[in-house]
This record gives sequence, C-alpha cells and structure tokens, in this order.
Amino acid sequence: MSTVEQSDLAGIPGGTAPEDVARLRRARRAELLRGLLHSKTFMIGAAMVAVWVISALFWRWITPYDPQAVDPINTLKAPSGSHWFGTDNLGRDVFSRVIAGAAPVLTVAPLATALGLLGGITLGLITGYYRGWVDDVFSRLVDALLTFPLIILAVLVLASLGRSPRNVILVIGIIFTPLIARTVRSAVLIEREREYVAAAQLRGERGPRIMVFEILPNITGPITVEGTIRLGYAIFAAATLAFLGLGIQDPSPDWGLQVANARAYVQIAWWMAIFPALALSTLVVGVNLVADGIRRVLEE
Amino acid sequence: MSVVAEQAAVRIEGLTVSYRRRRKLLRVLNDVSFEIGHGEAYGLVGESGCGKTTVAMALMRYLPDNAVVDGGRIMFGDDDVLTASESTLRRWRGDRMAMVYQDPGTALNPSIKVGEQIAEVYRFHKHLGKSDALAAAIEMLSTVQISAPDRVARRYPHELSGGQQQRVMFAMALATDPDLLVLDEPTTGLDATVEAEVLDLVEQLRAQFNTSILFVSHNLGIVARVCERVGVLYAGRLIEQGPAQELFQSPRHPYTLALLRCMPRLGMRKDTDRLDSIAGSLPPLGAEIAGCVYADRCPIARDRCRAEPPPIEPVNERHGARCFYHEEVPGIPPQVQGIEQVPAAAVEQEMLLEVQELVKAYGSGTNAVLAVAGVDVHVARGEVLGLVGESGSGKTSLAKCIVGLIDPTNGTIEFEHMDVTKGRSRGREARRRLQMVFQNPDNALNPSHTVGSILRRSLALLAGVRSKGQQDTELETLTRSVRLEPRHLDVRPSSLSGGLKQRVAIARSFAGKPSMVLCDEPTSALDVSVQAAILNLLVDLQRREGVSYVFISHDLAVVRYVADRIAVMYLGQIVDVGPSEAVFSPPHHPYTEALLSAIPTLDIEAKARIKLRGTLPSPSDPPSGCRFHTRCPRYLGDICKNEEPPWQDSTGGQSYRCHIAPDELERLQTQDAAGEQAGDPVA
Repeated sequence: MSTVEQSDLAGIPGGTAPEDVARLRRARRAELLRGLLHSKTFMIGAAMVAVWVISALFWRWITPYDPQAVDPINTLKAPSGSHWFGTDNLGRDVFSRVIAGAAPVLTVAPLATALGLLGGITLGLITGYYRGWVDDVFSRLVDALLTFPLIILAVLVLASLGRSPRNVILVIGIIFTPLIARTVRSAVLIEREREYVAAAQLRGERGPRIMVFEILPNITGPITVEGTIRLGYAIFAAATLAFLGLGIQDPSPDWGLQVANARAYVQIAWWMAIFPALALSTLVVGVNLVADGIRRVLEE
Repeated sequence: MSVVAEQAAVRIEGLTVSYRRRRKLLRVLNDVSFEIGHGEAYGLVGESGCGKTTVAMALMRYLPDNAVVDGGRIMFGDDDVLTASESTLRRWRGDRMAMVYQDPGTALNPSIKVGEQIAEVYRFHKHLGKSDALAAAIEMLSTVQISAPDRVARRYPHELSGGQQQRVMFAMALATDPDLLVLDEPTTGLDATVEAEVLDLVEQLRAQFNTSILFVSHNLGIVARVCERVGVLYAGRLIEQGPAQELFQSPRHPYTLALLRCMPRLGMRKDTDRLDSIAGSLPPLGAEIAGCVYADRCPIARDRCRAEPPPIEPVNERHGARCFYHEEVPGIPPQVQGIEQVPAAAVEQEMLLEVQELVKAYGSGTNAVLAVAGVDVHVARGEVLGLVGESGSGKTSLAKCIVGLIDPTNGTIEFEHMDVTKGRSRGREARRRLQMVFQNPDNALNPSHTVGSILRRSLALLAGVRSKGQQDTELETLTRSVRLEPRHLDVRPSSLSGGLKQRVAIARSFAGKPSMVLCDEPTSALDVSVQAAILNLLVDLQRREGVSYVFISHDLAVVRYVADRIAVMYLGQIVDVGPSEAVFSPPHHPYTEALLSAIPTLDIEAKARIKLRGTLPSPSDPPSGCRFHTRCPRYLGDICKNEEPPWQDSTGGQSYRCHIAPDELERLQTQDAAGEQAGDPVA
C-alpha cells in the first residue's frame, strides 16, 4: 500500500531522507542569520551597539582614569594626549566618564524595555484575542494617555515617587506598555483570523493557551522589531530624564547628567557636552539601524 | 512543428528563464517555443509551479527583478520584446499588448473612478482630450457589456462587483485595440456564473476586435472552451501542444493524459469510480534533469527517457508531444491501483445532525445582514451532504454555526441528540465527534508547530490520549490512515507541499474518531492531480470510519462525485435539496440549472449557457418574494416578486423552492436542452 497513491508524498523539496528534514529546519534559522550578516544596515548598527555594550561591561578595565576622581588642578582642560576628551569642571576625565557612562544607560533602558514588553505583550494578546469591552476600554485609555506629552507624565510621576534608577525603569516601562500593546494587538488581530486558531478552538483549547502557544510564536517578528525600536526610545528617555535631574544623581557618570552639567560651560568647554552627546546619539542610531536590519530581513 | 499562418502575431523561440534565489540560478522555463496567430486564442495550461505565469510576464517583459532571461526571443511582429528599449516597451504595453490579471480588485487603483482610469489610457496612448477620452471610456464600458456605463464610470472600483471589476479591466486592456491580449487566470477569483459571463465576454470581444490572446489558466475546462490551440507546461517545459479539442480528446503526452483523468467528470460517483492520481511529485525548482522531465512519474518511461531529453515528436502537422513513445499514450491503462475494497458505508436512517430554522445575522437593527436566513438541514449517519452556493450564499456561515465557531442568532442545532446550538457551551464529546477540515491548509496549520506536535495535541484533547506511549501508537495509526510517512512528523508545515498539508489537517480532524466532519472547500486550494488524491483519501476515510461529511464546494463536479445528497444555497436560503442524481437531473431549481450550465466542461457539445441577469443582491436587503426573482431566467411575473415560493416535491426525494410545479419545470428544462441539440449546433 505504501507505493499506492503517492501523489504528493515526496513533497519535501531537495531530498527525502530524515537527515535532510532536520537539515532543512536548521537551514531556515541559518538563513535568517545569514540574512542579518549580509545586511549592511544591521552590521553597522550592531558594531556601534557592540562598542557601547563592551564599554558598559568592561569600563573598569578600559578607562584610563577613575571616572569619579576629582582633579582640582586640571579642570576644564581641552582634549590632549593625556586626556583624550579633555576634563570637566571638576577635573574628571571626560573620556573615562563617557566610557563608564554606557553602564547606567544600558542597564536602565533594556530593563525598562523588558518591562514594557512584558506588560505590552500581555495586554496586547488579551485585548487582541478577546476583543469586546476589554478592548474598547483599553483602546480609549491609550488614546487618552497619548494626548499627554509623555515626558511631562514621567516628570510628574518621578517627582511624586522619588528619583531613583528603579523608578526611572518603572516609569519608562509603564509608559511603553500601552504603546507596545497596540503593536502586539494589531498583530494578534491579523493572526486570530487565521484558520489554525479556529482549529485550536475546535479541539477545545482554552483562550490563554491559544494566545501563548498558538498565536505568540507567530508574532515574534513584529514583537522583535517593536522591542528594538522601543529600546532606542528608552535610551533616549533615560538620558532625557537624567538630563532633567530625575534619574541617576551626580557624581555617577551618566551621559544625560554630563550634558546637563556641561550646559553652563558650553562656551568655554565644548568637549564636556559634545562627547557624551555623541556617545548617546551613536548608541541610539546603532540600535535603530539594528531594528531596521532585523525588520528588512524578516520581511524578505 | 505546427504550421500556423505564415506570419504569427507573436512567436516565442526557445525562451529560457531562471530565477535568482540565494545566489543560485533556478531554471523555471526551459526552451519554450510557440506561436500565436493573428486573432488566435492560445491556451497555456499547467499546475502551479510549471512556469505558466512566467511565460505571460515574459511576454509583457514584466518579469520580476530576480528573473534572468538565459536565452530565446519573443518576436512581436518583427521586433524582439526582450531587447526593446524601455521607452519602446512603454509604448507597446497598452498600445500593442495588454494584460488582464487574476485579481481585478488589486489591479485597479482604488482611489480613482473607473471611468477616469480607462480614460487615462486613451489620453496617454491616443492623445485624446479630457472629455473625448471620458466619452471613449464610457463607450468602451458598454462594449464590455456593462449596463448603465455612464453611471458605472463615475464609481470607484470598490463599488463594483468582482465581475464588473474584471469587465473594467477588459475595457482598459482593449481601449487601445491591442494586437495581443494576455489573460492570466482572469476568472480564477470569480464565482461560476460570473466566470461564465466573463468567458462569454472574452469570446465576444475576440470576434469583435480580432485580437490574439494568450490565455493562461490551470483550469482545463475553461481553456477548452475559449482557445483554439493549447500548450501544456510541465516543470518549465512545453510538453504538448495542439488544437484544443484534439489535445483534450486524444492527448499524446502521458502527463496531459494523467491530468485529464484526475478531473472528476460530471457523472462520476464515488461508489463506482475512483479518481486517477499522478504518482510522485513535480521535480524541485531548478533540478538538473538529464532526460524527460516527466520520466519519474511516467508509467511508460524506459531507460532512454531518463538518459536523453525527448524532442517534440509530431503527432500530425498541428499536434506534437515531447515524448518518444507518444504512440503508446492512448493505450495507457487508468492508474487507479489500490482501490481499497471497503464497502460503501451504509446510510442509516438515524439522524446525526438536525438544523432547524437556523438564522445567522451579522450586525443588528436596520443594518443587520442575514447571512443565513432560516435554514433546515439534516444529515443521516454515514451520509455525505454536499453544500453548494456562490460567495455570499451563506454556506460558510452555516458551516461555522454547525461546528460551533460562531453562535447562531436563532434556531437550533441538534447533533447526536445533543443540543449544540451554542458553540461555546459544547462539551468535549460534541467537539470530538464534530470536526472540520478547512479550505486553506497553509492557514489551518500553525506554522510554528511541527506536524507531530499538532497531531499529538489533537489526540490529547480530542481522544483523551495523554500518555506518551499510547500517543505514539495512536499517532502512527493516524499518520498511516492519511498516508503520511513518519518522517513528515518532525517537520513544520511550511516544508510540506499543499497536498501533504491537507493530509495533516485531515488527520487532525480525525484524531478523535469523529462521526461528522465538515469539509469547507477542502480541495479548492490544490492542484487537480493533488485534488484527486485528497478526494480519494476523504472517500476512503468516510467509508472506513463510517463518518458523515458536510462537504462545501463551489465545484459541482467534485460535489457530485462525493455527495449522497446536495443542498443548493442562494442568499442565505436553501433553494434546492435532494439526492445528488435527482438534483443534477431536471427538474431543478432555476438557480441550480444556471449553476450547472455555467461549468466549463471538456465536452464538445457544450450547451448554450443560461445567463443570469444582474448581480447578486445584497444580503442586507434581500429581494421580496422569491429571493432569486431578480435574476431568474424562468421568472413568471408578479407572483415571484410578491409571494415566497413554496417547497415543491419532485421525483427521487428532491425538493426545491419555486412557483413552477415539477412537471412544468421538467418539461421546460428538457425541452430547452433538446432544442439546443437539434437546432443550435455549436458554431
């Protein structure tokens, strides 16, 4: 009987042995990876991000000076052989502070993004899958939230909760939640109309299981892209809050804080502002290039 | 090989095209040559992946960016399309050649009124002024038989029906009176009666404009109707070519023969005939094949076929086949090995499913749309009920209510003596016993799960098989019953062919040993040869397991093949129901009659078609009296408009809803058929 009715049994292209099947599955993953490696956008972005990730992890070994060491004799020195990026108003080495400044940004921003993703995915799955009144209420709430300038909202909350890195993470994470939820919801809305969801309902799967095991694995693409874009925003938001004095406090080497301190000296010591600002922009641009690269490879 | 008129309108010589994919060149067309004469309609047929669309695109030089033309010429008169400059091409497209696509909805610009879209062609190519161009556009709309053309010209594409949109596409294509018209599956997205209208239009326009036509289609019946000559493509090679009737009557390539035998012909029944299927599968794209591309699947292949590629062997001066042994082809026996001798499941008296007064409304108040407007259906144990109707007839809504995906607005559904009207409150037992196979296997299988885990989950939930060991044995039985192999369990659906995916979906619905399975167009997304294998499988399973099917399809030949009883739906109501042979023979409801006459067949003595007037009314505002009266070819008068028609019982257990009594209807319908055969021979 096995020879009968084979009309399309040899449907796997390129070979039929079981090892080929496993090979094919690996090939899909390898293909995505290769796509990323061949994408110039992604590679340039990844290189820029990598520089700052390495700085954040190993600044203790990289920095030539202690980023917090005050040197009253050498204040406001212009860039030179001994101080590549010059020194600030307290004589601290700007280069060391820029390198070490990657650490607080790359702690706060990813954690805030992760929090936003967790909340956003949960909310997005529930509202997108169940629709109905939950969805209506949520959507109006988001509309209301979006009429506020988000930074003012953050300032208000931080002023009342107290200024600490933990609270910055919480605030950014909570503000991101409805934004990410909207993206997830729209992906779920498309996915839930597909017949495999109907098939799961027909075999009696419960809602939460359909959301997590059936729908979620198929929307990882848009979620990855959204997460990467949000990470860029989170870096910027964290720096902005630090600039406003609502995040990490002096003497921590934070980029936003450094730019804020440099404001008073811009006309006499441009290096104090320009280097942390450049650091911030290269990281944000790098993250966005990575996001673009991922999106393009996923779309192919 | 064929002697067409001295100078052909289009001559394709040795066209060879590859697609670049991941730095590799995959050959999709290999040395394809044919000619289209002046005013001739040439049909290009083949299954998905054979390269037929690539030929059409190459003709217009609309090939995608990753396509590489490795060789050949496309002579358009004395000019080669492939070497013409971009500006020349731009002039030719529209002026000398035009194309009509499969999906008119996406080919028209949604934000420009259709009259202006057609007028644009006149302004660009004929340099007419604004008002002259619009007048010409309106005239063209009436040429493509759009009623009230000046009103339609002021509408946007979304305000038109699918059939009207396709007419507008034809109007645009013909605006400049091109020498060549390329039609790429122009009726594939349309309902049978609309398709028939569009094909009528093609024939009429051809007579009027004397345009050469390249008609690309997977549907052999349509090509047989419209075209004079036909070419069959397989794996990028033109394997047979000849006059349409001759090629379909006596094919000389084993593939053409097999393809023709795969189609369920009207009159075939599952109880007596089994469908042919083609063993093996299409060679993978870009495969290097030394000999004949079909050798691996061919029942008469020999060593020579695998060693050297066959040339086109002439059968006669107009007909040729790429086969060394084409003379043996007519003698190939049907490939219906392995009929399982399972006796037909006895249709029992016991009612399995009883649907009463079912109503499904979407929206509420005055905006409510009645998708299903009061339907009574019953299915006996072991019976196959075919559900037929065009889009908008409510058949899918009815099916979703029955399986419990949506809740009906009114009415009751009883299944195995359980009340299952409300889908969500169904117990496991009801769910296990009543399952569904979906239309599109790409959609119905979760792409991120392996086939094995999909089936295991169904076994666990539906059959209650939770232990690993027991699951393994059940899984093996299940896989074998749908003729999948164990190696298929480890892969994700995306690496399976369409036919294999549908087997997985069928296995899933059979996991809990159901007593009824709803099949929603289970083969409409598949190629003919795969469709045959899936239908055979469904018939086998039905007999072996004694299940009942509700089998939804728009393809009447398929429904007639599998169904014991047939219900025809129109605008949310059943208008004709009974044993399939009774429904298919007069008297039938006038709508059934129109549906039947709309099917393009390979028979030469095609009957004159019954044309339906107007378009499908909106279900939100159904016509009064008989819902079909606005389009009925046998409209009586005010009675149809004002009074709801009664059920009429006809011979053989068939009933239909019409004001015309069975005797009278039968007399009318048989008379017409006889009249056509005697007095109106096919021109």
